[in-house]
Amino acid sequence: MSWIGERLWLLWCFFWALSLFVALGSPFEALRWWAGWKRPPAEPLPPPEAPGDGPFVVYLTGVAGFSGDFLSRRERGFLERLKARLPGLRVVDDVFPYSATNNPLDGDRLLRALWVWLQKWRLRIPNNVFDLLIIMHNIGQTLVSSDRRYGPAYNSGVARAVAQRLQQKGFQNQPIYLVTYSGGAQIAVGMAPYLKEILQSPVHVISLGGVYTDDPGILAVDRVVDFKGTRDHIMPGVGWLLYPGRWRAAFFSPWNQARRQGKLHWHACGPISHIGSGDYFSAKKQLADGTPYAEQSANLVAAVIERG
Amino acid sequence: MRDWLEPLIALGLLGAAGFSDLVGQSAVLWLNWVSPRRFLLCLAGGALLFVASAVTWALGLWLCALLFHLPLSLARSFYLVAYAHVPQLFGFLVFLPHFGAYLFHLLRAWVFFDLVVAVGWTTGASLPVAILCALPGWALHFSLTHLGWAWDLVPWRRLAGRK
Repeated sequence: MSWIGERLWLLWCFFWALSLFVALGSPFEALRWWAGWKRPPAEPLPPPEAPGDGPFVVYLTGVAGFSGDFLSRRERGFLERLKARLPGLRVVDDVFPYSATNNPLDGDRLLRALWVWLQKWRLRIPNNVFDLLIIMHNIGQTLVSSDRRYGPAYNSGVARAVAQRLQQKGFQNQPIYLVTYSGGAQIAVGMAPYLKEILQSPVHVISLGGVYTDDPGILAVDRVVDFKGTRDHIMPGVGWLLYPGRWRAAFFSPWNQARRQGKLHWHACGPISHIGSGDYFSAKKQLADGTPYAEQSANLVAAVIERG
Repeated sequence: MRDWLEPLIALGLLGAAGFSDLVGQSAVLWLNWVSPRRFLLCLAGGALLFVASAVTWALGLWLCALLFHLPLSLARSFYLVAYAHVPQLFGFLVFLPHFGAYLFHLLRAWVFFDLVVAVGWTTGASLPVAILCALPGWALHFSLTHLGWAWDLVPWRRLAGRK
């Protein structure tokens, strides 16, 4: 083997060893919290807002998320567009969905310094190798959420954080719209039964390039609307590939039951890709009629919420 | 090999496999709100139970071999059962989210077929006879070391209200 081949092989092995290490460590946070070995971090909440009519939207970011407070400029732009279309809209966008205790990567953690360092470099040089570990961590949490053993504990923790934020935003038992991107869709579906139990309200999931598994939580969701770009091939297919409950042959799986009940709706939304400059939040790329992708995404999501 | 070394290696192998298996299935302990001290005690106790269960499997294998007039001593049955558990050393990987659930069954099946091949190879038994010899003990071993029953004890009802 050539010198380069050997190094590439070593790099490949290192990547898989790292993935295994991260995946093995991923259930610990949820389990330690559930077992009472670790208290959730105490966070000062802003004073509650006056009760409102809503609509109430919870935005759950994709697997590149870093904390509840940090959203990319593009995602912020999308939410601003959404607010402009829906008067009275109240948005909860500060829940970090890749932690059972809403503990951001720069929160009370053993490897806090590492995450902060990675984030610093990620902001300096976007879309580079520093993203990898953060994405691996968050994919690990998505797997935890979808696992029948860990999922109930994890998802109930996220639901608890979301319910707390909604109540602080003046929520009064209106329908809840969980607007998600990529892996956030699985978290939304996973926590739906618990959110419903806590708040006693209908829960709708609206996803942009959503990655869905065969989580039984789908049966508690009142409606799932997924918008998928025609260039977004790989990521939404990952859920189908890894979770046999998504296959048509698994006739009695929760996913197929929900499909037969007519809860699942898919819509193509133009030549949009999952990540990169032509993704769902792109303000630069435009459709044939001149509408920027982000504008269209906001229009589509707003239309679903308006229809109720 | 020295006389005392082989049983020691076999016991050590089973103990390690049992511990690894318990680590893989430890999620159920966390979910049942077990304290750190009891968690470690459960892992150690579980490893001992695993060894005892494997010994029962060896006993079952030996009895079945007697029934089919196979040339297999009790000690050799024990060694075969112990060596068949080598894949179970990776039992801790069952802790992996999503993939671990599949791996659990894959490892159990792997250990079973390891023993079937070993019995066939050692005694010259045909495949159906080797399967018949290995199956009863394996079914008991699987039931004793699978913590599936403990999931019913998890206080799921408190999910939404957990502080």
